[in-house]
Amino acid sequence: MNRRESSTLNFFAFDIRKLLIVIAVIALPILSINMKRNPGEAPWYRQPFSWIVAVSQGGYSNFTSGVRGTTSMYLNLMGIKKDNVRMQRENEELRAQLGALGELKLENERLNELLQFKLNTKMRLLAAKVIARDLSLDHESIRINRGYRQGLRKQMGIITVEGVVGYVLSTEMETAQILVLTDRSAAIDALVQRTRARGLVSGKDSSTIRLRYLERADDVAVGDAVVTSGLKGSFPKGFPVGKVTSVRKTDFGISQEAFVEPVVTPSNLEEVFVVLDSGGEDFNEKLATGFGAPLLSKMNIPSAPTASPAK
Amino acid sequence: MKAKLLLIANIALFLLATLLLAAGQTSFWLQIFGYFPPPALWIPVLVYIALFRSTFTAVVVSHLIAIALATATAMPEGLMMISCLAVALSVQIFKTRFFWTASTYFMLVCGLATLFFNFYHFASSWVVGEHPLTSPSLSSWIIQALLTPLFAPVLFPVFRWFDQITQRAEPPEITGAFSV
Repeated sequence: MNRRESSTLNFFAFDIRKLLIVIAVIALPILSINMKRNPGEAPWYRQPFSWIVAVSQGGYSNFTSGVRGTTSMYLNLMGIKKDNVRMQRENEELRAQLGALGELKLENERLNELLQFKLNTKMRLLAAKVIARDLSLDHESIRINRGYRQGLRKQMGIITVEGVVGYVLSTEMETAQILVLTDRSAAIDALVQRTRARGLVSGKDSSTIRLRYLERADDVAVGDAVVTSGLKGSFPKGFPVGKVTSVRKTDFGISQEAFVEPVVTPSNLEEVFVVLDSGGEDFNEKLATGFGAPLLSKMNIPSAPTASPAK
Repeated sequence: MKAKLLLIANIALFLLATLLLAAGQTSFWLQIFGYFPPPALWIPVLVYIALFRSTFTAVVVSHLIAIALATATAMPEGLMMISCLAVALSVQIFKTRFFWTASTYFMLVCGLATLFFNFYHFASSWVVGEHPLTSPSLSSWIIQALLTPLFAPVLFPVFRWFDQITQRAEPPEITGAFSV
């Protein structure tokens, strides 16, 4: 068949190839749109592309989220570190404040106790602070921040709310040295509260004192309270000194001695009172009215003394 | 004349150091550590004087130190003087028997001198004291004797500096030989 004959058959004289291309160009989008209306899997021809896109997108996504996560984590860490430092500092400050408040509370309680004591007594008292201890390990003295300018004189009594501490050994302008009762060279006139047996209290070691020169016939028993006699006026009368822990009576001699546990522990002293004037204060009376009960409670001694003299 | 003034200045500096160290021992230590046995901070002064001065100077300075320190203790002045003198002489005798030029020697002697001081006080209270020491606090003695040498290496350069500024010739025993 020659060319002329074939053009006779194709009477519209269309180019079949072009027509097919046109149909394909028009039909494919229509087909595609039509197929999109059907939910379900992506058509087979898109699956490789989808897979590649999905994988690459996932990769990018993971990468960026990783970077973003790391960056934000780093930034957060920086923030946390700063916060941590700040909070630690705040915590330390608060702890310090808490400690200071606790210390202040204790000091306040102590001072309040001292104030109440001072307000409820006829004695003229001067509060003082312990600023130093003895240079020697085998002597018991303390130094307080009051001296002769504040009216201190030698032999003046030093007490706390709990009991007798000692007396003034020497004075300087603004300080004074106090000989504590537990020093072996200290000497204070004292009585056994129950029987009024009289003796001289002096130190033995840092935690024990001795009541010496008691008459051999004196009735002294373990547990008896020892109080000041108030004879010299340095101390009020009947103020707690300690509690008898043992009595020693030798086979010979005219006296006996008792070992006494002091009511005041020298190693706990922070504030003390100087007795400028005892004012004739008698703690035997106060104990009888119940005022001095707290004074002796630490010694486990009943607050109802027998005031009748034994001799 | 100048030499005498320098000598007086030297002794005055050591006495001042004694008082400051004693105040630190009795007050500063109390505020920080309470009634825990403190080191005898003033003992290194006495040891230094006893080690590097003549016997005469050591005796005089030991008495001066005792008089100065008697204000900070209830210990009678006489007992303090006897105890300080005994320590100074003991250190001098010890030096004739054992001596080596190192900081450990100064530390050792300070520790021993602290122990000796407490022991001499105990002994002298029985021999010449009115109130013999019946219950010595031995544990406190030992703690003090262990603590005192710790401060000796710090104090030694200060004492040497005192000697330098008062133009006192360095003791031949320590020239260039004191090392940590």
